Amino acid sequence: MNEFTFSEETAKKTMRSQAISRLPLIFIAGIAGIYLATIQNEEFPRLTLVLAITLPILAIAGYIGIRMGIKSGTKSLMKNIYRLTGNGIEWLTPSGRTVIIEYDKIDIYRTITKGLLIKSKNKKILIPREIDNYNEISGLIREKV
Amino acid sequence: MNEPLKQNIIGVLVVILLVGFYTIDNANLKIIFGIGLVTSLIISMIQIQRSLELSKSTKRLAWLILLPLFTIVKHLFTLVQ
Repeated sequence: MNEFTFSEETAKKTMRSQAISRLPLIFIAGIAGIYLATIQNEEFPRLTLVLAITLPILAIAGYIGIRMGIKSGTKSLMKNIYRLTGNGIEWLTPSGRTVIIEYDKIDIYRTITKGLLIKSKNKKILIPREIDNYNEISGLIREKV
Repeated sequence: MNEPLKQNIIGVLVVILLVGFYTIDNANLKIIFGIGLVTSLIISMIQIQRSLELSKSTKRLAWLILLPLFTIVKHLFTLVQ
């Protein structure tokens, strides 16, 4: 039985790159939030002062939020376990559920940008490209299928 | 289109809907923007709860989406009346 998981280093690296790719959206959402707060307080006499206090707080909160997101995302990624048994592929998910696809029930398996997608009639498993030993697991699956 | 770019584009569209909903004066447009926002929030809520890749704690935290959802629905009811 072969078991494949994310090592802490790989999971952290994956989460970090995901966080970086979401930075533009976080930035735009932050600006939109400030804009909405500003237009609703046009008559506030010390708007500049309020912004001068709010912006650094927002920046610090954003930084802490991203750091916490990376940390919890790393833990969550590490809970993914992909097992190749004699009968099929098992995916132990972070949500606690297990998805099992037997080799003879695989309808589709193909390489996509995110990794190796395996589908049966009503289940699907995606082996992420970032997982440790991705080439080994995808090679083993190809052999069995 | 790669996944992060797609997610960013959808996110920006939702932000545009939100800003539009709170700034536009035209009631009809406001209602359209509001319905768009409510739909996107409900879809994201369902997707999060059905996802196998997210942990239970993340799913629990995602129930907070109901707060803005109810606020926007309440706003929409006021507009319709």
